[in-house]
Amino acid sequence: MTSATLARPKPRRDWLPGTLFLLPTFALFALFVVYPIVYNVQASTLDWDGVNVGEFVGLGNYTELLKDPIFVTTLKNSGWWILLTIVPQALIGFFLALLLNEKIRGRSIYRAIFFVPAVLSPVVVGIVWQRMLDPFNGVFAKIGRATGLEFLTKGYLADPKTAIFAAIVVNVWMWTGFSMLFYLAGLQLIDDSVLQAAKIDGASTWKTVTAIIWPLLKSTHLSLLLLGIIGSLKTFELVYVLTEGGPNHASEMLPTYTFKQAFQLQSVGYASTISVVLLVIAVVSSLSMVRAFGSGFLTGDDKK
Amino acid sequence: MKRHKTFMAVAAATALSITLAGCAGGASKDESSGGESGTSGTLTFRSWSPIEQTTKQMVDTFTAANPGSKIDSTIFNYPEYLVDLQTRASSNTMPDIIGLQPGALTQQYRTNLMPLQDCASKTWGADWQSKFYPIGIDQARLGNPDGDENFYSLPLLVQTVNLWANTKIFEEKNAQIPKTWDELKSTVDQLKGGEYAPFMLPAKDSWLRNVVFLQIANNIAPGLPYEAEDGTKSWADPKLVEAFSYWQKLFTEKIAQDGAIGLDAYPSGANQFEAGNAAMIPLGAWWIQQSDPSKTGLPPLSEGMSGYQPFLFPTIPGGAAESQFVGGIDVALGISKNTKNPDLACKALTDFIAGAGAQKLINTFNDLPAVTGLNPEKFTSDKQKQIWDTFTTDWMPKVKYSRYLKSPEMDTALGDALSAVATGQLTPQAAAEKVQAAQQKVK
Amino acid sequence: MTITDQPQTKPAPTATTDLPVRGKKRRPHWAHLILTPMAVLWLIPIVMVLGLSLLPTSNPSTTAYGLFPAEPSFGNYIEIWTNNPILRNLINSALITVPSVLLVMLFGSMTAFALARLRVPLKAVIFGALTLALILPMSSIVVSVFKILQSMGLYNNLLGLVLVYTALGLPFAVIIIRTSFLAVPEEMYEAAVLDGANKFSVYWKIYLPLSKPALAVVAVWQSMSSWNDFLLPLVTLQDNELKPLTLIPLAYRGVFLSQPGALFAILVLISIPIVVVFLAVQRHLVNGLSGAIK
Repeated sequence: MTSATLARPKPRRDWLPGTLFLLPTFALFALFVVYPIVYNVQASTLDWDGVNVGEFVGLGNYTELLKDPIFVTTLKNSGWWILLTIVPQALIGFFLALLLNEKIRGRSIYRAIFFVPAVLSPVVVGIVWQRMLDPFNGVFAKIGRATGLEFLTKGYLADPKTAIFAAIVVNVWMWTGFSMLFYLAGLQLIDDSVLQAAKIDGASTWKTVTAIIWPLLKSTHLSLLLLGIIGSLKTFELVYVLTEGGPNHASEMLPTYTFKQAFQLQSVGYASTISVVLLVIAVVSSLSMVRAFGSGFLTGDDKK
Repeated sequence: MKRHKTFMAVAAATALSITLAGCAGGASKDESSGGESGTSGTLTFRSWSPIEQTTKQMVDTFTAANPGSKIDSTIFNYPEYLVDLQTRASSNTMPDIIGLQPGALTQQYRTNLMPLQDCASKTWGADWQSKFYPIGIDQARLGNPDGDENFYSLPLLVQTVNLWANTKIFEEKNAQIPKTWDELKSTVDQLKGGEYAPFMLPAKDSWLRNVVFLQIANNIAPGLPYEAEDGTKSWADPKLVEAFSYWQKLFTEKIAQDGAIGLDAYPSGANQFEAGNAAMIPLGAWWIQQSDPSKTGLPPLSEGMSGYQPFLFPTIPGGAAESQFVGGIDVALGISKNTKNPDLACKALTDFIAGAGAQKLINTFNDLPAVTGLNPEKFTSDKQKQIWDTFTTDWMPKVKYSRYLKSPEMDTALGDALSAVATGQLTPQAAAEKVQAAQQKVK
Repeated sequence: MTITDQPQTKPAPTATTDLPVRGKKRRPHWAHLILTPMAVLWLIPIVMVLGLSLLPTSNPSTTAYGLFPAEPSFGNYIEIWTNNPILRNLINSALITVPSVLLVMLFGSMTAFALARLRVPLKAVIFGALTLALILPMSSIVVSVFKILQSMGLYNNLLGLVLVYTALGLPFAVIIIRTSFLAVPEEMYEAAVLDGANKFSVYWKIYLPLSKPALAVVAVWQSMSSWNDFLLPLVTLQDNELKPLTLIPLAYRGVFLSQPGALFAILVLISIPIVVVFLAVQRHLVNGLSGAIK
């Protein structure tokens, strides 16, 4: 184990320097995070179109939301999205990072290729994938017909049963390079002497990777998990361009639904309610991560 | 103690930011509109239509004719436009001239908009309404509260919704443009097996689903959808259920291409049609913009509209004997109540609608003008002129039925129901009942 | 710019004195057997993006299963270049992005340092608050943020955008940088404090240089998010002279996405600077911490 993992009692320190270090962040947060949240919470108690005077309805929007079948769909989709993006992205990203941490030829080019999708505008990604997945004239369907691979010719985006999963595949393509980047950064934090020792002990590559490297990257995994959950919950533009949340809301996500309510249906109050619920879900998930993985993950106090 | 301090700091900053910025739920305050008047000054114009290059030409024409005036125009796509407009309307930065859709959007901003009939009669005379296509005048006041006869927006461009044929394919296959549902089916069968879709339905967009449905429904029972909307009839009326089942047949009888419900109209559907990958597509009059003579490098099919022919949605057995005309306002313009320069804004708005600016706009074939008798200065082919004349003199004056429903809730409910029917989640009967249920919630 | 791997850019000490084991058994050629097919798979949509940006309006037909134009042309690029003040917009985008990246790296690492090594009240609460900022979607907060900027006199001002992006980018930065600070042995902190160094210089001279890989990730992320956002500049900027690059594609998405080729061309152009940033900083993802600490 690295020396960093040795627990030490902390000497008593004053809070003042810490607070000073936090000051700029606090100031920006109060302005641009706290206020918008307060604003959204307040708007969520109104029947309001965003322009004219709103009418106070108390918790009316919340009770309506609980009865809204589309809201249930968005929750289900978010669940799928969290599960099916985080795991493949982490595994493929980790694998790529391992390979591309080696000194192989063309390493920068490989890294760039896997990373470029994350840089592209979701608008471009959405339009291009919609074309590729078009069962009538898309590249997959054409290849499928040429090779007899029937499954390539299906209209995945057009089928309410598969649309959300097709969108998830696109998302994995888009963001795996980003997970790779994370793991590359994480790998730089591993002390080489540990790997050297394993080598001397005669550990196989597989064993080194699974028993030493993977566990040492715990904080990277957890950061990715947290960011993955939040990223999934706030997925907006890709879905909006790819399926517009359709067919018939089958691939609706919380932010796409919020957007439709606020700007197409002129129900800013209801949209704010969804935003508030989104915030609550995000906070609850991060707090449950604290419970599951120990508060050390959050505070850095407890290093186990 | 220190903990307390931190809390106080956060609380104070929060309180400060809230008092600074005001709360949700209020309407924007009126600001006294002092400042310049007359015909010099700066105007802001924001809209999603017409396209930017065209808007620039209109603005340049106007500012050249009105020395001392300046118009800052920003054109961008519709969803972001809605966000921008809402933000600006609620914080006193609303542009002087804005693009609007009739009905719900205009109504949402009604209290921020200036009534325009005085501006119109001052510019065009007392009988100004007769300059416009009747459907445009009808729709401009769509959704006004009872007794409010003001025009909060005036139409800029209007359109019909209809089908388009690729005449190259039709000629090659020696096929006839279908006039009835049965002909549509047999034509599709005849055209199958090629590299192209016989009937390309880009049904990802809910506006497209809705306009196709409204064409079917009005061909079955003219005007019935609007009666259902007013509550005098039900969406579950057998005739409307029948309309849903004809919509369903587009999919179950393989008239539309595979995966239709996942394909968007723009850019994918339009691009494929222009590339010759489809024999028919449901769009509207605005497709004539593909032959804009000011654009260079037009694809062969679009050059002078050489490869296209518009036609009306086929009649349905047992329905109206003739195909009905469905259409309406494409984009309307409104003026902010708080504009510092109402005279100049009126001048610019009327110029865009029926003056020199309008001529620039129409020269690009962007869509049909809202006023009658305004034609492009230059046609690039006889076919283009003939299609233009069909639209402006034969079709547009006859448009009786709106391509929109009044409320955005109903637009959404109908779009959702059509999607559910297309993917087999709902039967036509169940879909109609669902739309009716939504209707009862609205009123 | 060449995109080749240059081992000589590595600092000499790490390369010579402490060459890692995995470095020694060089050229694992077998990796190409996996990487090449994956790279090809990853490239297919990218080729199509480039292909569509080269699709001329005069011939919308495609070839190679629809991936590439039948008749590629640079017409779309020429069109957007001649119709827009691209350089002006580019400078504005840089004026928004660069300060926000620097501020996020500075404030983010300060916060991360406080959370990782200093005594701060309510760490869990602060962390929870960070999550809140991560989740806020721009479309839900744009109205309220606009009102704040307006009341601060920052309407129609690039500084306002810098501040908002900094605030929204901080949580990500804190999470990532804190992770790497925690990997620095605490003894180093205590030794430095015993030597009489003040906290700021420990942070600035020891921790910050050691967290280069994390800072690299933060730089990439923050560049991406402030570079690509269009909703806030759209709403808060009025003058055409201030508009960033991301507002151009909105015009091409205009009515009915009238010019898909031009839209793709401008979006490809917008992506290039971020790819350059990535290529520049990914070089910092090669030096193990172990070498640097000793």
